Amino acid sequence: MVNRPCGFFNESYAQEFIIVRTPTQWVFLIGALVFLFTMPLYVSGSILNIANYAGIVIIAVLGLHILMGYCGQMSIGQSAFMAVGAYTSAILVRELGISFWVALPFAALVTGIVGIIVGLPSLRVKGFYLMMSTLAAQIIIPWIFGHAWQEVTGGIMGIDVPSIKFFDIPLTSPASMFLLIWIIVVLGTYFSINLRRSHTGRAFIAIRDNDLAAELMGISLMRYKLLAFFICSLYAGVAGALWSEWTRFLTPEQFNISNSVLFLGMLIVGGLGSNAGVFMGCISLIILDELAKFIAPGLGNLLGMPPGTVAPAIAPFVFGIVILLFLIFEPRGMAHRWEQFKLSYRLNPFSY
Amino acid sequence: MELILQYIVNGILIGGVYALTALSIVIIYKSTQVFNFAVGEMMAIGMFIAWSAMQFGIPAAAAIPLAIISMALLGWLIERTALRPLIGQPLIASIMATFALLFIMRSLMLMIWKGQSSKYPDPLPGGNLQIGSITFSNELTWTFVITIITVIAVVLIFQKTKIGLGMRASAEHQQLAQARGIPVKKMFSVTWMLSTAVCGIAGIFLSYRLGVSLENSTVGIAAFPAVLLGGLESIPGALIGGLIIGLSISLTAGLISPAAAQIAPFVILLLILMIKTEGLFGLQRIERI
Amino acid sequence: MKSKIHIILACLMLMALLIPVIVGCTPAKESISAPTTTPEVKKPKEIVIYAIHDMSGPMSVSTMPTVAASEDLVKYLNSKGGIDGVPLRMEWHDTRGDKAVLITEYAKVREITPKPLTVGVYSSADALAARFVEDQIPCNTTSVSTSMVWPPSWIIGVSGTYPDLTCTFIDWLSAEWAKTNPDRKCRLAFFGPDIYVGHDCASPEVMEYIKTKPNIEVVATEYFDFRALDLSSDILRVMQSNPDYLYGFYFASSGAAFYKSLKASGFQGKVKVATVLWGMQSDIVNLVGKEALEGVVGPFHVPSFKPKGQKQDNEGMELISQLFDQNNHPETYRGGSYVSGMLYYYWVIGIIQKAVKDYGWDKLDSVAVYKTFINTRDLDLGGISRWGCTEGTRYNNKCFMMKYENGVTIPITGTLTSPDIRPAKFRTAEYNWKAAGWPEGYFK
Repeated sequence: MVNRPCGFFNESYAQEFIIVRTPTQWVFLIGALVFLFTMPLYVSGSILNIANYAGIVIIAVLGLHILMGYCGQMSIGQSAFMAVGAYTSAILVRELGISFWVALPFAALVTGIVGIIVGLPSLRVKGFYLMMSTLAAQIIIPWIFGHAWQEVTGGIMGIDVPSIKFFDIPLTSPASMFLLIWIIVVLGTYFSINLRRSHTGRAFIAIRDNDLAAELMGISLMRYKLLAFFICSLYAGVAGALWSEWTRFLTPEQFNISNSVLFLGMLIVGGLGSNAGVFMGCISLIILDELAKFIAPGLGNLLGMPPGTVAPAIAPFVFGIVILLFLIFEPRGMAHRWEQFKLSYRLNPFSY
Repeated sequence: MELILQYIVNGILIGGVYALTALSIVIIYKSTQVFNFAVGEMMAIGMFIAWSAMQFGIPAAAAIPLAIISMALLGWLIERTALRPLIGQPLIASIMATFALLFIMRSLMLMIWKGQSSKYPDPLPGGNLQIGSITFSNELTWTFVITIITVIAVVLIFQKTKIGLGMRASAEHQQLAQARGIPVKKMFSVTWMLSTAVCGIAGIFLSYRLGVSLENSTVGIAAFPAVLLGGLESIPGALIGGLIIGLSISLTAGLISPAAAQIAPFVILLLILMIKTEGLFGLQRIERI
Repeated sequence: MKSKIHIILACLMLMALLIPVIVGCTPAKESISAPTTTPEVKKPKEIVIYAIHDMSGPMSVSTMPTVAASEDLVKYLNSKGGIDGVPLRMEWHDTRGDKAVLITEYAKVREITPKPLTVGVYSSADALAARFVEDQIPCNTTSVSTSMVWPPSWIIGVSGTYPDLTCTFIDWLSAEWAKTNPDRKCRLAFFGPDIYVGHDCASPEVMEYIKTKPNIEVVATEYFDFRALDLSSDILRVMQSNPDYLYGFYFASSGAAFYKSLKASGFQGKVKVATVLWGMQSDIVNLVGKEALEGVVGPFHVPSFKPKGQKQDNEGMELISQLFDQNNHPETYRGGSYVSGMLYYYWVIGIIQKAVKDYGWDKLDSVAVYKTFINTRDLDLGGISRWGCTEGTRYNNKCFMMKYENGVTIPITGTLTSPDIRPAKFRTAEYNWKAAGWPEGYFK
């Protein structure tokens, strides 16, 4: 049951699908966007760096969310797709001298095609077995980048990536990367929200709920499952290309399974089917990470251990505990709680 | 020719470790449909407990059973706190729970044992076995023998004892088993205890070869193809799957290139998913709407 | 009742969203004000040494003793008055082996005022090479891979690059082999882990250098899985080409697998093993036992740490042994990582001390420290080892050839100077720095 804010009634089909409904929501949206894009003015460089990392991760997790949250296919290979995007973009810029702005969409496209190939097993297997096949992809793809065509990919030693040129000005400062990354984040989020209310989005959700029934209803499983993988890999490719420009040095080891598990964790904490959940999950886990590093020295003194030994152990511990607590107490994630809160506010004093 | 024979022997001996790890995953999956991704860390904990016991002067013959019993207790604890609340949840929840456990166990090991690397005070008795020109390495042969004994023991537990019967019944159909009076939750606990004990055995014997260090937990990931190759619900399948994976790694390293041996198990994983999804001995799933 | 809970939840979520804003908007930490009344030199309140390293990920095994060593050394030096009366302090940051965390941690460190004199980034410093140049902060590093120090920038290494050290070994091997087996060539096989270091040891420049040695030939180059359980098949394959020497980086669990598999396949003693740097220190001995490493040789700059109670080789090592015993550390820390940690911080603190002497307290900043780094030709490290670089290079070119015998690493040569094995593209007279993206004129 979706409850609208009080006093707003749908008077046309267009109004039923609208994303931003009330003037209050418009105010919040514009305010948030203004706040976001003026952040470089009043925030320090290290926070901007963290925000850049968060932006790249959010793009990747948005893709994963479309695949897992909307379409219900499980994937533990998102980091490998990022690798494809990163290496493609880096090689195009480095070897062929193509400008980054052209290399980015091309890298995304290539990653999308790789995603379709990796997603082919989804037509035969589902659930856990699909996750295993993406796990195999997660291990094999970085290996390929480490061992095949080593003159171009740099092999295990890695390659360095030239910086982005915006009309001959190299974009290297955190602020410029921030604008680029977050503009793409906003566009990606808009696309994802739009997807949900479109025909394709409804097909995805039908497949997630019961794919046999969806097929009986006439939704072509092959087309939509592969489309979901394509879109997910598109996002991952974009995230990977941005990653290659953010770190400016690529090695295959950067794209390992821990990152894929991290993305899954962010989805779970945020809530599996909701766009707001992606943001909440990513930002809260990144903030938790920083907090863990912050309290580590104090905790070390408390436990009588030198700070060097406590700090590295705290972050995975916090990560694991938070995920476990969310799974046990709030499996639908933070977004669900947020929706409950909004609902309780709207329906007050009735129960929700 | 005997070169290839040596490769095959090496592969089969190595397969023992993978088979043990696969066995512990299969035991849990058979009963509770949960795939335990944290096997690597469990192996590492078993190894550290045994090592700490030996540091206190307990001889190996007593330290190893002590570690196995502690692992069983740990398994009970894990099941009780982390997995019991997740019984009705979808697949992704239980998978993420095991990942969360992975991180928690890793950080606990870092805090308690502080990232040291060491080895056991005494190596395994006996030397390398030499049959003709084929060498059977000491530690690996021990591990292989222990693997066979463990598999036989687990099969006997499942087939002959009352608890094994209860576990098989809960795996088959939970509601019917409960209706018959079998305490299904207790069966889950026993399953986890058995599985972590097997993990502990694998970890201890693995570290006779690799030394006691936190990095050993990454070995677990190569066992997942073994599980899927053999079939997720089949104990003989875990053994066969482990041996085939070990063979594939050894033959690839010897005949093609050691660098390619890293992905050999995963290529096999992809192949088996394409050709026979359930694995060699697994049960086929028929889906009803 | 329920709405109260939701109000509380809402407040918590709002706080969670506002914290980054508040944290971000707070001004940077205030600078430490120096005493202004006295006309004498303004000394800072303390000197902070920053280190960003992998303390909980794959390399944690060797990092933790180094952390312990640095803290012990700083404590000892502070008890002696620090540098000219100014105390020292270590500040460690953990990267967990993740490059993204490295970048964010560095971004935090560079913002600290007073500006860091130097930052220690132990691995993957190459990702930040351009940023060190921009921020004008020299980076001291230990794992010196070719990409980190070529082209020369503001990253300076405590040891030689792996290619340089490998070629020092080649020099020594060629000379030794000519003495013992003048009639035939030495068959060398590169057999290393499939990671960065393994490939760096067998880089194209090394292969070129070997061609200049008439009595060495390379018979095989193979890389094994560093997560492997057992390397018997891999070793068997390599041994098909009958090498005399196996050379690689045998460290951590893959090193343990290597040594054990070597023994298990019966080749121990039939082939000589040579390794480099950390492959000869106690971390690997802890894993496999000292008999496995008997007879292994390799280039290194850290001598052995004799077991507890035994007399060390020289006064410097005696001091280190005392410091180890004074601060309670687990016994497994007693070994090469600890000594190398000590030597490393002897180096960093020694350079800072030299910078103070050369430039004075008032001109002491990161640029001064950088200039001191690149102009030091021979610095004594605690009486145990030496550091020096040449014009244009940024890493140590001094080491010993060590041999592992009876549980200790002993140097079998005096101080050797490594040949300069720079990647081929830096041998041209004019390297096009600008085309590679480096700002003009940075390499002074």
